Amino acid sequence: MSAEPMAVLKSLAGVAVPLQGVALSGVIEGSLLQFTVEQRYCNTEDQAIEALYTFPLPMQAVLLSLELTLGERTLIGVVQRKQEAVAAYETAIEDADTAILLEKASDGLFTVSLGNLLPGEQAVIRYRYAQVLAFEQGQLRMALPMTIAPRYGNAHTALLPHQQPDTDITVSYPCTLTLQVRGELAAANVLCPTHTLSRQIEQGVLTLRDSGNLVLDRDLVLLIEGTTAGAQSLLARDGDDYVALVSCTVAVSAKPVRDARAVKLLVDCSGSMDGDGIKQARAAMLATLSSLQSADLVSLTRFGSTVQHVTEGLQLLGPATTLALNKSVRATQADLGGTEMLEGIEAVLDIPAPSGLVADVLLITDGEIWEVDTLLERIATAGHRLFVIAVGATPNEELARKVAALTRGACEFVTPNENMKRAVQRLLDRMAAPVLRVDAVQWPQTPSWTVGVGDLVFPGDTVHVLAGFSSPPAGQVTVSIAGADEPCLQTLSLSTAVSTDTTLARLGAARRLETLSPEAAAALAEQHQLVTRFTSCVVVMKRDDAQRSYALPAVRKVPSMMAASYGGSSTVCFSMSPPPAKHTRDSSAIYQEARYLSRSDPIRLEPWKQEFASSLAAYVLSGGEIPQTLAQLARIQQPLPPIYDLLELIERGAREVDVVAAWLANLCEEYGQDCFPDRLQRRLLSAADRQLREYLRQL
Amino acid sequence: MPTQTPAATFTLEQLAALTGLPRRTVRYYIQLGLVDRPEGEKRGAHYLPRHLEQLLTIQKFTTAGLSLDKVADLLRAPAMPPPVAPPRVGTVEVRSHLTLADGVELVVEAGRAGLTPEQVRQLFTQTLALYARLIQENDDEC
Repeated sequence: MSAEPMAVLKSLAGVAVPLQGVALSGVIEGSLLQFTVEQRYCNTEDQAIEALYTFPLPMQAVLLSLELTLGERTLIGVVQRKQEAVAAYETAIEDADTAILLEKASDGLFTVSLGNLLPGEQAVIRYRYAQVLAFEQGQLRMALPMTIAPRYGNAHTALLPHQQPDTDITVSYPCTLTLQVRGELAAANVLCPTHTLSRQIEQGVLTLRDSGNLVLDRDLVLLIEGTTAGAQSLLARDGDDYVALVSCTVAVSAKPVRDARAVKLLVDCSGSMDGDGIKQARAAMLATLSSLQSADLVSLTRFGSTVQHVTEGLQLLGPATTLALNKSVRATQADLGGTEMLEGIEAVLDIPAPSGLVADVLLITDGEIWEVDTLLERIATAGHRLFVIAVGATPNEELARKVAALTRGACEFVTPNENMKRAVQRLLDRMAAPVLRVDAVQWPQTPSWTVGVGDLVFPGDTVHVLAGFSSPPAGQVTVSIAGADEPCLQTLSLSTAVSTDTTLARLGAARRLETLSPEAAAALAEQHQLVTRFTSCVVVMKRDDAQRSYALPAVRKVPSMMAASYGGSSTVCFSMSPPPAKHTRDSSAIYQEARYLSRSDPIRLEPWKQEFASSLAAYVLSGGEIPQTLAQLARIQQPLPPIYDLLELIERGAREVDVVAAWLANLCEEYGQDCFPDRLQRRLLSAADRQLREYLRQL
Repeated sequence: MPTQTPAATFTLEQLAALTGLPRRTVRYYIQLGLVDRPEGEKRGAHYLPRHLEQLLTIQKFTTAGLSLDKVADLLRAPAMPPPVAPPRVGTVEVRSHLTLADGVELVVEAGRAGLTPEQVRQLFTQTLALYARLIQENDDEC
């Protein structure tokens, strides 16, 4: 009797796709994340195949192990110099054996080749990686990329032909997830803005699981808030030696380095930004304009296949400029075609700034380009800091991080359901803050090597310093940070518990690679069995002669799932927990979304509110009409109040006149007795929508 | 009487060295059918100048930024039927738009698609039914 035929996933071209699904299981404890990933393959064809799959991993992830299970046998991969590993794999394919090769295709992308998978065979590839997480600006954000969105430009400049991913809108790969959060973090506020996950807390361990409908179409993001990282140290064996990790969040009080600032806004209006991406870009620009002061200078430039300057150079931010810019921002569309990012950046670098004022670039993009290295070469001497807001459900982490690091800027990743206002504020705070540097680390004994000294850091971010020792270090370690108004020293005791797990030693080795020559780096990577750009991991499974077929296997690239919301193909704004019942534009849905997006905003009691109330009363009493629009509000008093919340509501479908009326009614309630005559109070309060007032009150 | 010069032959390693392409990439192009399979079998496999020529042609196209799909189209070009000309500037087309829901439309230019009125009706009816089923399933899940 024949076996039950299995469901065969086919690509758009009608070819069977060998990847059946993926299982993820991970643990977060302290600043360490460890993940195990299982990819299940099946050859449903009547010929031998070679499956090729390029998949993303976090840029800072360090691959630790690789296993192949084929039938009853499980083999463990060995890391070799790249050429040797490739040669071993090629020989195995020619000899009709089965092999896998895991290569680092670029920073954040890996390619696995599974060659000579025979008809009907099933294989499981299992790999493990670890990553040191960092508290930044009061939160810990973990992002696990799941798919690769189509990128603009020549992929041949970045990857070898067999590594270049295809995208297929019809394929779907199921995925399961189990993620444990241990230790103090389990008690923190753990949010997942990208997926609906189930939660269970047992014996102090928070376990998150998928809800049965997880697929590989967007980043999985976890935000851990409401806890402070403080300082911590870890100590572990490194062969005969020891390795120590010291992590501390830089908490310094520092005055902004300048009173006025100049910000060159550069927004990606290429086709890939359509839909959620451009909505986020608009929100980011509005948040930026709302946060800047009247003495600041700002320019706005759009880029795609061409570059369009919306403003003529840097403009002084007054009420008229703000209104004009708000209007331009709201009209911004992803209508400029390709992604000529370098041209866009070069165009804004050329915008002249007044002497004595340093201008920074704020780039808003999904980063979907291939030619990252070319871009980096050209902007290395830009003379500007580039701050990046990476938007969309699958932003290109490599681009955002490298551009920011190279130009001494910073980056924020914001998926469509994360709070844009807070992300923009974190970036602007760093823009105004002094640049700090890890100046020195005083260890209790002299280390044989150190990494992390000299790193640049912003206040509120985390410093990780690693060092190697020939004997176990004991005592206190002091990290000194330079660049603040006053000397900043952080002292902590080194851990006395010595772990025998090799993970920390291998993470340390991975960090050291960037400080070594290629030859020394290759030797260290091989010694610590790390998959790097110098080394690859290979597993060869010898076949019996009866199983060998010397024909070249048919190549089967595993296409990436189409990234959710890519180019406006769908939206993920409504796919998180708690989801609205249905996407409608009725008021309750608008309130629900807006309330969630602003859930963690601090309550603001700005003094301008009272001043504004007085001005409004004077204006109406002198014969002026009660304002009904934002533009009319802006005429009452300058500078313009921060009306970002109101804009956001209007953007989401509420009527402008209702939003303004509700805001004025709340103002009246707060300050009416002091400022408004009874008649005016009655007029303001009677006109307003209750639900809108309730929402605005919560902000 | 002139003697015939034997055709030059190459090993895979020599081919890789001559083109600057990794051995893996040469094999990949063969698997995709962009480059002919080698002469001979197993360890006796060898390559001829035409293989070298094919690789250099592919290299020229990829350096110019063409994807391998496009390269394959170009290499097959002589055997392909002439492409359908895109509509000329000034061409007037009538398209049917069926609105399935707010933001969801099906657009058909029946003349270019070669659909009969009955096929268009069926396409619309079945798409509408599919959309309704999709929404119903989603509501049921909620």
